Amino acid sequence: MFVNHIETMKKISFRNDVLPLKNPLFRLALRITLSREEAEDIVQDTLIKVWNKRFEWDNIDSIEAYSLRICRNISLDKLKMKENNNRSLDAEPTEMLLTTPNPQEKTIENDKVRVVRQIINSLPEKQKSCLQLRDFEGKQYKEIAEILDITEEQVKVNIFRARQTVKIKYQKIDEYGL
Amino acid sequence: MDYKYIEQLLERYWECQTTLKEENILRTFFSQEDVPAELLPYKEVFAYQQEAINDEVLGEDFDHKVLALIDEDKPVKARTITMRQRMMPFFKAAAIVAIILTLQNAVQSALTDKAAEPQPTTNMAGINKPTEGPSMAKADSAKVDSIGKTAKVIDTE
Repeated sequence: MFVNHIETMKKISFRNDVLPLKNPLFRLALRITLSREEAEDIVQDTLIKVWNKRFEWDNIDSIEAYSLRICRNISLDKLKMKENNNRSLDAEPTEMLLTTPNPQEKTIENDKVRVVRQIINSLPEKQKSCLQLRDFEGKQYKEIAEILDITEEQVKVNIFRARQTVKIKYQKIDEYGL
Repeated sequence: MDYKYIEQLLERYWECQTTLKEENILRTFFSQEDVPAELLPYKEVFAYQQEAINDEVLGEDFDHKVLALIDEDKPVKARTITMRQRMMPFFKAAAIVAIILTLQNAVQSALTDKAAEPQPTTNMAGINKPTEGPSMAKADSAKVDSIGKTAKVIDTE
């Protein structure tokens, strides 16, 4: 007969370990879909999906990387669905640039910051996801590679290109004086 | 003040050569009110990074929503069954059997003692006991002890 010593194993708790990931998850989903509503739904879907896999939690190295990966994949799926729907309608290309500003924002976003936000939002998905995870969520290259399922080298290349684009575009706009 | 260090960091940032620590230094530096003119052009790039972390968050209602969904899903909490708990019915049964046997012993030896004559047939009680005859008193106390012990065992279970 085997005795179940559940108490002796370090148990991952949904409330303490998974739920607090909601904000990084939200920001990543927002960066990809550019919609606060969609992003919130995606975070909910992500957390529930992670919850449903709770019996495999012990086999996972980083529950954070695992969750972010799921979040990104769901976001990409949603994007694809949207694209397919938009094909029949006249989609404004500029729609991708502008995100709905949060009415409850504590800081009044100045024009320049908005410009940076829009530049980043218009980057190709891999670049902006890598940038998001590095500059906003403070992740190591190794972890980002795990989340996106690419090599560390590819992560570096993506971030390099993203930062260069931000630098150049921002300089250009700044030159014209905002 | 010499901003050369910051300028160097900035150059390395664009080249994707900075560590997380160095990037934090840049963010902290650019979050100040007074940034030197030469470095001003990129203030917003780093300021935005700080702001986004603070602004793009989900509130507590979100927590409640998700936890509610989870709770619906949660099955009855699994309880840990220890070995002790599994064996308990057996322990209890063993205790009862012990009591019965002990009482049986006690009753039998009481009857044989009353008979007083050491007859071969009544020595059946004696066979059960490790000691007999003159150690009757000891046997009695032993019996009391064993009954007491069994009772004690039952109490602590």
